[in-house]
Amino acid sequence: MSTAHPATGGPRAAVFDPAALAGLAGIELRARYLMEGFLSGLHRSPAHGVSLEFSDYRPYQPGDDLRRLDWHLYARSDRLCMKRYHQDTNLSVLFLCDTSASMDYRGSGAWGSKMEVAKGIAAAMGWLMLRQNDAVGALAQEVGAAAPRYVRPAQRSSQLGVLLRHLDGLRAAGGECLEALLSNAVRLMPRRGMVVLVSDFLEPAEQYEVALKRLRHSGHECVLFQVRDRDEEEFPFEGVQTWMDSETGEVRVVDAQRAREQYLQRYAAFEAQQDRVFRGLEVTRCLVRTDRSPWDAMAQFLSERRRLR
Amino acid sequence: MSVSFLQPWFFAGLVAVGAPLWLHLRRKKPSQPRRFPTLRFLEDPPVVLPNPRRLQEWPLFVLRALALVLAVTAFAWPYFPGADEFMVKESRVYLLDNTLSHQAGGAFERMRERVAAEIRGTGREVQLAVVELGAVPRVLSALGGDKGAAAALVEGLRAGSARGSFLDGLRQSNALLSRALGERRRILFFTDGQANQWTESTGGSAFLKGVELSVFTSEWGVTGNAWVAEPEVQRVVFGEKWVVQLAVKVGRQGRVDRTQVVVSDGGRVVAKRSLDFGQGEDQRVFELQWEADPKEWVRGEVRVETTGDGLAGDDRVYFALEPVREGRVALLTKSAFVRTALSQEVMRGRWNTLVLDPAQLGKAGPLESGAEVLVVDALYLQSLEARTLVGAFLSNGCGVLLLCNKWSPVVAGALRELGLESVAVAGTGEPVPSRVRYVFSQHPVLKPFTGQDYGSLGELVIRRTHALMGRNAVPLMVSDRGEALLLENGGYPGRFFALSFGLERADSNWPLHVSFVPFVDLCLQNARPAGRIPAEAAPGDTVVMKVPEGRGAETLWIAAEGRELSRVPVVGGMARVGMPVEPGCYEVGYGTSPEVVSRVCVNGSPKESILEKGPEAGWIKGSRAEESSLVKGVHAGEGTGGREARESAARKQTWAWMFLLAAAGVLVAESLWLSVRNLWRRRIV
Repeated sequence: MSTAHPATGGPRAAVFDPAALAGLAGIELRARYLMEGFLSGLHRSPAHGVSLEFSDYRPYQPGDDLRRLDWHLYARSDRLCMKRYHQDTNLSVLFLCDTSASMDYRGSGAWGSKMEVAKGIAAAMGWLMLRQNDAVGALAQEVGAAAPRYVRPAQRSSQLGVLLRHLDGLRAAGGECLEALLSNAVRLMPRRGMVVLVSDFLEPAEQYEVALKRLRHSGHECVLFQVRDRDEEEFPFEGVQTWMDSETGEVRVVDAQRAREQYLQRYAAFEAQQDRVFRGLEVTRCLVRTDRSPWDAMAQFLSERRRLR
Repeated sequence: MSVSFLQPWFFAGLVAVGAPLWLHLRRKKPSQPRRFPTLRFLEDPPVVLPNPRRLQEWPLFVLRALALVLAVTAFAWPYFPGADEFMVKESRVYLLDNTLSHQAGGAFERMRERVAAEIRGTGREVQLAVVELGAVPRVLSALGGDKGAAAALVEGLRAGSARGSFLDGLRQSNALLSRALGERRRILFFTDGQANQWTESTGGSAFLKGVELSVFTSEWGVTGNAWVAEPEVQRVVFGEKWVVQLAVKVGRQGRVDRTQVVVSDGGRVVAKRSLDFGQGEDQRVFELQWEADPKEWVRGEVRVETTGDGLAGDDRVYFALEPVREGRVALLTKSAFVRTALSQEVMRGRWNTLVLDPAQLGKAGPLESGAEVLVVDALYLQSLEARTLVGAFLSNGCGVLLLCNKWSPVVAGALRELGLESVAVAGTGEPVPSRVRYVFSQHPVLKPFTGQDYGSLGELVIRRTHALMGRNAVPLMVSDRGEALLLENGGYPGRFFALSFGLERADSNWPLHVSFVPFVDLCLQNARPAGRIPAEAAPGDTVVMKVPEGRGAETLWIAAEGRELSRVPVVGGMARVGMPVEPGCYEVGYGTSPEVVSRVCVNGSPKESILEKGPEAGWIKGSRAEESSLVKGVHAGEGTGGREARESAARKQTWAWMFLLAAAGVLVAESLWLSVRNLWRRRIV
């Protein structure tokens, strides 16, 4: 897989590397939970349908389709029961992309900015989902825009191009947006599905915790890709420098060496608190670092999911 | 070598200092804020700086501090007082009057010794300058100069014969003091206190602000003085003889009743006569005439020999007359008398006549043929060509003698163009004859006629006049009716004489009078273009002498008795010559040629002979120092001499440059240290 910076390959190449995605072709992505869908697919649906896999029985009620009456059971127990089967259905996946200004950061050793990494992950996941007949959509909350940018989930063959154009148009600017993004996702996804949120999650967890809970309680599976830069995690700077916050514009003059210890402590505390929130909501979180290839991270994530199943 | 921005070493030092700074700044990272998304995890205070009291890089601090100290020391070093330096408390200017009057009774010599002694007696804390007041104030020793040398210069001064201005001397001294270092600034004026010097040029405003003026007046100690001044000589043709006429002022003061006047020409005593002053008579004009060869220079002197004379410097005056040079006169007149008077039979060797044809005026070129003077009848002014010719003569510096024998509106208009107006006379009947009543006897044209040699001008009868006047015209001869008979009209480069009558028998009997030929000769001689070199000058004066273009001379020299005194360059056909301060008759020549082209007589002013003391002028009193300057300064030791002071200053400046170079070297070391450190850190990373 390529870890080189893909900027020279044009905007689409920056987010869509077929060679890299070929490595994911043998991996079967299944949702851990039952999904609702219109089409038969690889995901088990909570709706009982015409699938070949038996689920359970229920008492006959007048009007039921007599074709699904288990006559063998009636013969053995003299009870009229209807056979129910697990229905295999397709998955509706909505990619949420954080477009706050902090996503524009690119560290000294990174192959791209956090936003570029997020786009790559979303593109790869979208390609994968579309390939297994899942409906893929996208949602982004851009700064200053009254309405979010939304791509309705669909399973069309042209959906990948729509998704990539959507991702291409995203620009990292503005401040915190996770709470609005998640709230809009709840509103725009009436059926249960999968929500893939790609963000650096540098906003305080209490700000978006409620929205995330609401999303989870609607039955959606939440997959969180947390994109971080090595500089943010290690703060490897030296000397007295003038710093400006990417989102607030606040300027500080700081001796990096002296501030590193306290920075790392605070960073660890922030991460711990965030981790507690994510664990409580049973959401999957995958950490992606910009100095490593996102394909590696995603492959690792899928492998872990498969192992967990 | 002085500390100056114009020093070449300054630029070398600038490069030495600037190059490390430039390298340092070039390596400096831009101070652009670095954008970072997790600033919230940094410390709470918005601005966190390392503790400035804790030095992190000692070597860098030491190097930078050392560079700063060295640079500051370099610039401050010249101002640190050394062991041979001291504070100047007082600045003095000794102004020594060396004008002619100060010679009286040996006053100048006494004052000179006194000044020299005072200069030698001043302490180290006194800074002094010496100014000699001659024709112009001359700085003998500037402030800060060596006192011993200044005293020696004063002792070497010779009594001068010039007349200088007290005002100029004080202004010069004040200008010197304006750059003085002392808190107290003084002018010590050693003078004879001559009255006419104090009362001269008193119109200026007070300028001695913050300066004390002390006047030390010497006593002449004389009882009387006789003097001679302002000689006037000219050649006059008298029949067949060439006569030199001399008029010179002889005066006395105090107990002098008689003096002996000795006139010599070319070393030969021409006359030696005793002159008695009458009661209350302080000044007389001594006149003398003698026959002299017209082809030779007249070089002579007049001296007075008086018993009990207090001032020897004013007892002698010099005069010179160039050989007679034949002039060329253009005649545009009908007067047969004028033509006869200027004919070769009468004026051979004196005037060469060019008779103009009125019909050929447009073609003829009298100026081109060398005519110096034009004699023209007013009658011809009715012609445009004649008017043009008159204008050409006057504008080219040549002379014109106008005979106003005709009156018409056209003539009146032409005269008006020349600046002359007719005076209307009441009664237009038969003209009434008039006689000469008043004569401007001091004018060189008429002065010879004040004697009896040429008869009396009062015998002249003017039968018909056309009285003239003009804004710039000076009447030289006035009739008994108050009409100007002879005028000199100014305002032109050339000299313009106008007779208000014609020179025909019907107009006047003057053509038959014995004074006629001399008058015509003198009038034309005075109307000739002025000489290129002035005949007289004051001692120490600066005189502008014109050099003819044809000579092609690059220098002009002044000599006395064949000994060259000075040589000055000729620029634009002119030379500015500083005349000697000693009275005498000096020769003038061009380039390398030994030919004497002119002679200039240097004589003192008669004002210097008036030995009267007067009070200081009001403007001097009003400027006595009530205010004192607060200027303080450190000055290199005068007491040790100017040479040592200069050496001390040079040593200081050398040290200053060395400090500056050392500072630059330290900055280079600092840059090297930074480079090595950064390189080392990169290798560690």
